[in-house]
Amino acid sequence: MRFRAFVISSMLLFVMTVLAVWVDFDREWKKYQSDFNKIEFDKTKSELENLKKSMDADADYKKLEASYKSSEDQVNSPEALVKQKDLDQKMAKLKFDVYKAERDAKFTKSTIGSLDYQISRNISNNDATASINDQKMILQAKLDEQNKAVDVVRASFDKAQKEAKDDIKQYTDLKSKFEDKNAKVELLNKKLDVIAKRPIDIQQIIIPELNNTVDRCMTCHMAANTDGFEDKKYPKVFQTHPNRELFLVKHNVKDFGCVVCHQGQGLSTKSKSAHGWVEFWEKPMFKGKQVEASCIKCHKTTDNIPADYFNKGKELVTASNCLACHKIEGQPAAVKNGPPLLQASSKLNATWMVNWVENPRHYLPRSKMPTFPLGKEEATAITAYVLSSSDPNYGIKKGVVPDPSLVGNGQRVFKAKGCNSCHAIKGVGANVGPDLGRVGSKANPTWMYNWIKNPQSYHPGTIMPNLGLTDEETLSVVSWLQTFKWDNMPQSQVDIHNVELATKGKAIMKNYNCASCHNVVGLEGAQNCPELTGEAEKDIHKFDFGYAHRDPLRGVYHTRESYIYNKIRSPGVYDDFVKGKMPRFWFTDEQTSQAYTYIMGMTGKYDDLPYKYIYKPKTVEESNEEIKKK
Amino acid sequence: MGSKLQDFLESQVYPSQIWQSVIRHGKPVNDRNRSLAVLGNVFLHLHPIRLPRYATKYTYTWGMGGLSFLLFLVETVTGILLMFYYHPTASLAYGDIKSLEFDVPFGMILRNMHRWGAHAMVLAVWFHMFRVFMTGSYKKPREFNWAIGVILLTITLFMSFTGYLLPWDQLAMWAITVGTNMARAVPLLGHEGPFSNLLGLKIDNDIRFALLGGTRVGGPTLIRFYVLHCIAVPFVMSFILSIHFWRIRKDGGISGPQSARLANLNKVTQVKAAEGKKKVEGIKVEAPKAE
Amino acid sequence: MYSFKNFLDILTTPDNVPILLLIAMIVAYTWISFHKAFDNDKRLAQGRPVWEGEPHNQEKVHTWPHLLNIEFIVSIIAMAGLTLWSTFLNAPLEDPANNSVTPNPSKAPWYFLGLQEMLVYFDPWIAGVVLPGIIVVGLIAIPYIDTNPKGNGYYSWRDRRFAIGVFLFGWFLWMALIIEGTILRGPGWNFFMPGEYWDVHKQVALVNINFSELLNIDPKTFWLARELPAIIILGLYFTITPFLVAKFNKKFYEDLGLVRYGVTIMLLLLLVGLPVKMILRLTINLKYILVTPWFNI
Repeated sequence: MRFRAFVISSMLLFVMTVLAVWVDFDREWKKYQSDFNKIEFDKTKSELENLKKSMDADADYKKLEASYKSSEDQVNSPEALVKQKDLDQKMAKLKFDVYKAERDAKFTKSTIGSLDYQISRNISNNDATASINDQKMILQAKLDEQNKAVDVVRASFDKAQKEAKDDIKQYTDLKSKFEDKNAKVELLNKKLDVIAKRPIDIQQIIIPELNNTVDRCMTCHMAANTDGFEDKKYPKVFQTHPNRELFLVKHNVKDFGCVVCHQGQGLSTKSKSAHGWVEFWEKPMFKGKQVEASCIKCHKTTDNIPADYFNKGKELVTASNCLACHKIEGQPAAVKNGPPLLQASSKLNATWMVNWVENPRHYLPRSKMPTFPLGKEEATAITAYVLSSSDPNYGIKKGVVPDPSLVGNGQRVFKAKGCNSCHAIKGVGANVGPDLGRVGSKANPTWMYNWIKNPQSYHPGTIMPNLGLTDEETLSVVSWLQTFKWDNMPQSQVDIHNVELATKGKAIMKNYNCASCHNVVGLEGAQNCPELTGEAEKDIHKFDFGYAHRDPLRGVYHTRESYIYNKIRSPGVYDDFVKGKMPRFWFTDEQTSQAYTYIMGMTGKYDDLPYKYIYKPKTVEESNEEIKKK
Repeated sequence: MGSKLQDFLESQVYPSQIWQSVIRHGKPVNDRNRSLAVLGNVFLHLHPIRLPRYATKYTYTWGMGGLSFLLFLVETVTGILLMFYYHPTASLAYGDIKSLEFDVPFGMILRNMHRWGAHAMVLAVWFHMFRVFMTGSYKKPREFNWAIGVILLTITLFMSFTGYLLPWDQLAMWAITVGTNMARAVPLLGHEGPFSNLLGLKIDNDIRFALLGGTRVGGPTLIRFYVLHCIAVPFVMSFILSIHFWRIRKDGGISGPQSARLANLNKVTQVKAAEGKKKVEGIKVEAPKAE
Repeated sequence: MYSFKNFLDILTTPDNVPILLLIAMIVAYTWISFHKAFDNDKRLAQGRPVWEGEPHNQEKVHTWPHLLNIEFIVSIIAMAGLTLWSTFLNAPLEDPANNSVTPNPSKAPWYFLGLQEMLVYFDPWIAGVVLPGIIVVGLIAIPYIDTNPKGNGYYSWRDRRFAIGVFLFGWFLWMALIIEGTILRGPGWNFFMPGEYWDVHKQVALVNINFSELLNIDPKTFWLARELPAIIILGLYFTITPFLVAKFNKKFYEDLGLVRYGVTIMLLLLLVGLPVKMILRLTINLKYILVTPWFNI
């Protein structure tokens, strides 16, 4: 009974131990390494075969080989060998002579050295040195004799050697030529040997300067730093790093490692956790071109490096006027890029404006103005404030009424003056200015007249030029444009004289920071939204993820990456508890990714880097000096 | 073949001076030699040579004391191996633990064994106490050994607690922060405890500061807990453990019903003890009759 | 909000796995000990020797092989189990330690969660220092205050009802607190039902008030006057109860003697006081009974 229990439990322990050993031994990266070794072996082998084939096809090589072989046979013929043997004996004897002569001279020299020591000692002890000096003189003379003898025997040795060499000169020349031609084959053979004997080992780069970074990426990505695996036919994991010369040689991989740029968990030797898409690893690997977010860690500016994706993101951030609300250290504050609203009441239709504020895309699908999270009530309040507070008396000419008889002329003028090279009508035409296909419901004729006459008088910063239209041409264009109405425009009532409503509207506009892009009566813009300077290093617990865990689309793991990406793409996504203020810019996936790349460069931590990693462009003086030297 | 080897062993090896100097008893094939083996071996000597049958039943002892000791040994061995791979430095500790998982051969299983062994040891010690209580084994004459056992239990918890910090991750740091925050409140000795103002204690000179080597968990805490975990507490623990084992034997071996315990003791001592008791307490106690 | 997956996630967090083992062991060993105790009780009632005292079981056997065999086998099984556990469940390792980021919830190791749970109900110096101190001292005191000569060395319920009852009360209270602290306490140390999502944003109304406020005494009153009712109640609890118990259960008092009785009754009162305070908190939102300038109870 007990014996059986003993046997069974022992077997159990044995099985568990074997299991534990197996689980520990069977590591993912080992398979990658043996796979790669096989691929590289096959590749080298086929290279070798191809090389041999092409050499066999080469007539010159064949000829060289034949003459080398015949010459070799000659050298190895019995008579030649006998002669060679005699020569070897003679040379050996001469060599021994040289050795003997040199040995004698060496001994004498050494004795002189010891005398030198005695002399210097006697001098410091104030003893006599005369007798030793005499002795030294004698030895010196002897040494000169011996040196001469050495020269004599060496000369005869050199002469004999030269004769021997000349004897087989033809053969040695051929041999070296042949070996030169064959060098590549030898190299490949050696390489095959190395690959076959290569141990399965973890490859790592340790960089103490960078926070004791340990990168084990090359344990699996074995060809990252090897030329010859650029081809897409190799599995992705074994491909050479794109643009290796720039990224792994110029940025020496021994100094930079991998995760400095790519992020991810360099310590890991398991695929999933190494790429960092696991819990408890704060910095997952950047996907694709998003890695350009890292350039700015060392390069203070990316203008002069090929970080296109990052730079596009930067452009996008500037163009979208993100800086109007968010501060980024080192970036200039934004300009007000929206039209001023100081005289808006002389321009806009109240109903149209409610619709516009609620969602500009209803009127203009390509609107530059983003969509704020506003409801109709809020939009109405904003309209009331803007229209009641602004100056209704814009323009020199008052009371313009469209003339239906001029409509045809207006269309002609519009074309003739090239208006359609900037403005589209219902999607037809260029897209520099807004589409005017529904403008009749937006702007009143008087404003439009004055605007066309002199756009800068209303909006000093506008890019629309003053085309110098005559009064009649202007009225024609206005008449024509006023015929374009917004069919089915959603209707609403705005009482712009309701002070309470207007006050509410002012508060809403202040909250949403409208004055950052528009000039608004009684409001000032401010960069009062979260600063983006250190966004990429911001503590993850400071992001409000709302109830994101409930919605698998928003990501189960709460990562900084998913937050920033989703927030840029659709800002309201995490508004479960606090209603966010950020408007939606309707970025495409690629645009989002580019803007994200730019924001992920915002580590705000340049000063933490060791000096040697900081990119130091040469000053003008330094470059000049360099040129002078050349 | 087998018998040839056996012949060789019996004629040449067993009688040799070397063998005899190490193994002093014959082959453990009979009760006499087995008894000698138990008697002559320092580890087996923890046990008596003979014991009542019920004490060999798992349902009586649950083996929890033995398992606690086994786990103590497991922790010692795995702990020593882990020390080879670990720097108790704030900047290196976390990476070392990561390397145990990803780089070191058998590193992960070593760490797992150490951690799960520690948890299991806490459980084993608790249930050892539970069993000892349920059989009333703390009663006379084992009162003192029970007290030693309670102290060993607190030491086990402290061992586990100090080890919890060493991986130097968020789990570790905040568990220790929460745990040591209680030391703030020690009456007199902690700066937030009652009456601490009498000693002029502030956050940087109270008992918690002494434990952490700072006002909050940081690098100095790591080295303190490392030394406590690897040297100081194991030393104290082994010391007290040896008292615990020694007292089990000295207090009459495994506990059991009265008659069994009395039978274990020398009858003369028993009579004397009984007489002594009679004198002191004036209570009539029957000395057991010799069988 | 509720899902079995949430519950499973918390249960299978690597460091919570010992809790599962703990629950299993509590059930198994409580059952074993009572099974054996009731068996022995029956034997005693019939005038037979207890199981441990049966002649067959009293018979002396040799340590080698009878004890060493089973020790060896148990060790092997334990090592096999530990190896299995260590092979397939990895020890947790979270983000690198960071002083400035406090995880929510921040929990002590599971074996201290009973103490952390006590922090809800008591001042830190009571929950974290006095209470564990009393537990250790109280455990050490057990052999010296339990003078019952019966029940030494064998499982029994009949012979030691009082001792086992009190011990199990404390033991189960302790285990329950640990299990609660591990499984049911989430972010903000809020209470979460099994399966409820651990929502960091959960808001729980905090309406706890002190005893004096329950009596509508102005908090600004001089503390001694304000706390007089509490002092009286606590004083009565710790002075009158011992007298009453001694009076109505004379035998209990006489068996123990003055000193032992004093220690025993104080430990008992503290042991009972613990859940009483917890119940008062949960039912009438009592924060502190006694508030002094130096400490609160």
